[in-house]
Amino acid sequence: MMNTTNDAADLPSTELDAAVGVPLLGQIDRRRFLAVSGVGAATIAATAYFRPSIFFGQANAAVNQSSTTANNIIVNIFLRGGADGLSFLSPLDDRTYQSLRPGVAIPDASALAIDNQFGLHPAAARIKALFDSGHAAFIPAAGSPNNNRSHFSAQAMMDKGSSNDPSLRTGWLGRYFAATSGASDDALRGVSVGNGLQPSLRGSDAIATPNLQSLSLSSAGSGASSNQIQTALRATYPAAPNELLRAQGAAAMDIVAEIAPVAATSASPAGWPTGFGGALWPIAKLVAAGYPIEIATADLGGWDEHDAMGSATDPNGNQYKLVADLDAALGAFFDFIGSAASRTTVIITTEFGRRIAINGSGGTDHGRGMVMMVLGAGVNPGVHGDWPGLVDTDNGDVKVVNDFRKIYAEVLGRRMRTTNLASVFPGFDTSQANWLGVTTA
Amino acid sequence: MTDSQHQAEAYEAHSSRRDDAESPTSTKRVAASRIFDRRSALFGAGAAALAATAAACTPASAPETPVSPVPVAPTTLPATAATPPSSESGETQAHILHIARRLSFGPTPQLLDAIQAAGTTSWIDQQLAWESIDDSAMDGILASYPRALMTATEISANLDQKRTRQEMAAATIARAIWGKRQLHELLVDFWSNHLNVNINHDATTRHKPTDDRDVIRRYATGRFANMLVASAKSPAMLLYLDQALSRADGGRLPIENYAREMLELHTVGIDGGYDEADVKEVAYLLSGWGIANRNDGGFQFRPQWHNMGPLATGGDVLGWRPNGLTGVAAGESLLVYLARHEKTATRLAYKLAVRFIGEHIQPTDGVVSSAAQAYTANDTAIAPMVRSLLLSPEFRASSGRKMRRPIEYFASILRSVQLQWDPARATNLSSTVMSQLSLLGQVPLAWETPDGYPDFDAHWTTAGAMVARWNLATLGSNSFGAPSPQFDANRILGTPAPATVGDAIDRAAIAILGEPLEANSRAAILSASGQTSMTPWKTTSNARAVIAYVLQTPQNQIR
Repeated sequence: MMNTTNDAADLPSTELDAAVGVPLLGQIDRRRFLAVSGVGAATIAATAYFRPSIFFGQANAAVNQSSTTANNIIVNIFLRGGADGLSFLSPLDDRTYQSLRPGVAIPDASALAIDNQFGLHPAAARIKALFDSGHAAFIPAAGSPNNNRSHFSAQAMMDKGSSNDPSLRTGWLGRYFAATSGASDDALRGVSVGNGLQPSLRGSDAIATPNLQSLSLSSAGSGASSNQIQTALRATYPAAPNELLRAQGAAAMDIVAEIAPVAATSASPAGWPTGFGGALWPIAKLVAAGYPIEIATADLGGWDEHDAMGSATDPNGNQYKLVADLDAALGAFFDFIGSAASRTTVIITTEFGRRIAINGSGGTDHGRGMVMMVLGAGVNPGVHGDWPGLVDTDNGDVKVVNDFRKIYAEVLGRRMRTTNLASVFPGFDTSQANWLGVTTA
Repeated sequence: MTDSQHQAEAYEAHSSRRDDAESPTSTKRVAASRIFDRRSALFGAGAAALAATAAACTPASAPETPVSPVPVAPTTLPATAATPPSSESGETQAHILHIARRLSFGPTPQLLDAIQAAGTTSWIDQQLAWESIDDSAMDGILASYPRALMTATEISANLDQKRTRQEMAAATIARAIWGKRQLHELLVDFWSNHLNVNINHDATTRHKPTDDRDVIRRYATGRFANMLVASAKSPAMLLYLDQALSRADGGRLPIENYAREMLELHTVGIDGGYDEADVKEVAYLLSGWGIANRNDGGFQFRPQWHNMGPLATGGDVLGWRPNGLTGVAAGESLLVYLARHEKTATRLAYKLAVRFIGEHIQPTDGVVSSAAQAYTANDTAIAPMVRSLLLSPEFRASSGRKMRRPIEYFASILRSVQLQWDPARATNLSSTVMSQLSLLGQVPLAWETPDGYPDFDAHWTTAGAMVARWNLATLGSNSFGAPSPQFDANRILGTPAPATVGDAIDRAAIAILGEPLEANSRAAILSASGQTSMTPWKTTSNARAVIAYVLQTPQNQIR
């Protein structure tokens, strides 16, 4: 947990103060200082723009506060490309499965049994351990009622939290923030790790970043000091003619200040898994440090295995490597966040599952029902929802019988402070009667 | 276009935020006093208006005296405030700057002069006829990135995947920085994303330079039907979307991946009217299309893997029927048919309009249908479609409405700081390209999925990305560490040295932005540096800091 006893200590201020001709601030609220003292010609614009809750010292106050208020956290992981559900959670003792997937199906003897009907991929040892400790739930045959096998349309539906509503421009997590906008406007409420915002967060002010270092303002090479640069940016961006630059520029300044205490020590520890671990590291660090994150997102691509999925018991097989990468990163994540795991729930989803039968190249084409996973805090361990089996299919694919929104709505409804689930999932029955019991009451 | 198609595209285009604010090229500007020496031809005409505004907004700026001891660059027009606008109707300096920003990787003094000299329409036509532009200087630069020009056989002979990717990325950025065929290069970027092949895919890397040369660059302004057929036979595409492995003999199911993406992304679009049965039919139709081998093979059709599937016994794909054709001839016939399809015409015109005009354009707008008609009337020719868009009133009115994406921002910074090519530092440039554009999320040719890098501002202009951009600008102010003589900050400010800090800021703005700074930005820079406009500029003054501030401004994010 972070120690932040001195608001001013995190930001060297000499040059900033010299630039505006005031002494070191000490305990003075820096946001108010900026508002009253002004910088250059931009005083009015800056005062009007900067978001009220977080600036400099206040950011640290928010960190301290969070360690006592201890908000819950959702980490939404999207496996892009259509991850094969049958390679996460395979039906045991199922002759159809074994016969349609020669060389690719998980042998019963190798599956990590969850119950007498399903087993996990041999590479999913950490997920299995989470299940064994009561922290993993699985929902097979999940997906959208909309029968669309395009990556991009199906992903858009999942990210929007809609089966196909043309009027929706926002994502389901973006609407969560809209539905709870009064609760907090911390700049780090929503964090999307990757190149650009996960579309589920559209409509929110969540930030997107590939890593923590990128959120730290550098003056390298310029000859100006970091504080001089910040002073100039603070004065220019609130008056930018373009609204997007104005809003995101100012939010960026908030974040630079708030992230400063951890940005300097942002390298992952020795032994941290490479691959997807790199995407989960910034989330792990911020969660463990007590930042008031509510939603974090990360994407993992590469699941579009049209050929050579490989044997489920071969560590060099393509599907094995994908599952192992995800599994190792999740294990390291829960290890690192320690006690914060008691308030952190991970949702793992993908746009669709893959065809039951392998194609002529040892791969699988786009299918329908996939497997969702919910890991961590508040989980009711086990397999949930209906299972249609592999005989009664949707054109050769696992049928979708468990609407993905049931899981989203339930996790939001039980774990987060949403009071208006209907506004997050318009046109969908979000009542408890429609939940699957993935979480505990 | 149906609602759902529109919706799918709008989803990508993310239109919740609209920039309806003042255009950056508005006349509400601070005039830079002694800048007209360097940019005489371009800014001469606008000087009077700018000076009038300047007197009102910037008391600190020097008196308006467009006189300088610096030699005036050769131009076709005298640098006086009395210079009339160019002969083209409605030609303005603002429009020239708009064209330079939007149709190149960043305005430079030389580029602005060239557009001014040619006239905007003629300049666009010259750029569309890119093969007639002598760009032989690029050959010498590209010689430092030999893998970017190699065949798969040559690359395989001494395989180094990482280096191949680095050299391709560096060659792409080098052309953006130093190439004279700027509009062609922007179209190459567009088509590279439209027919995306991720260079990081293990199997595609060695074939990507061939795809880049023989599919994308070759046809970037040519007929789309030719580009599409070339792409379908390109080893990089055949491997990236698994088509090379698709066989439908002996009861095997063909791989649907390429067939689906070709319909959904390359041609008619998600709501082009096809269904799942059509996807399967096209997958059968193309079964057997592949390559001789993964290391160096060109296109090879394997008749023994080919099976016409359901189309052999009737049915159609969006109205196309084999009519007795099989094998390669049948596939080619379908591809050409789809390239000529009206849905394809509209979709390509709309995507190009978003790229070159802005997200406010809708698929049903007249500017889109006019461009689609130009495409169809010229049998899928790309240049007339692009020309139609670029000469439209909508293009002219779109100044300031698009943000630079990371590649454009990165290349523009190196153009702004006038980085000089140095073959001894070729590796330094390629590693800088990889590391910086990785942080910004747009390594050239490396988007993972077949839809190509997103083309809407909100994707690229997030709070986290803004910090990364500002950091890029500070590094760029030192040209990413390139030593003299590759980089000299004072050269950007011109000779003789500026007299005052205000003068230095104004010169940096003209050199980098092609126009004066907005008043607020100028004041902010002075304030941050703790100086006034009239503070004397000394030999010890920090030119790099001034350049960093200007590179970071909101104005420099606009393309």
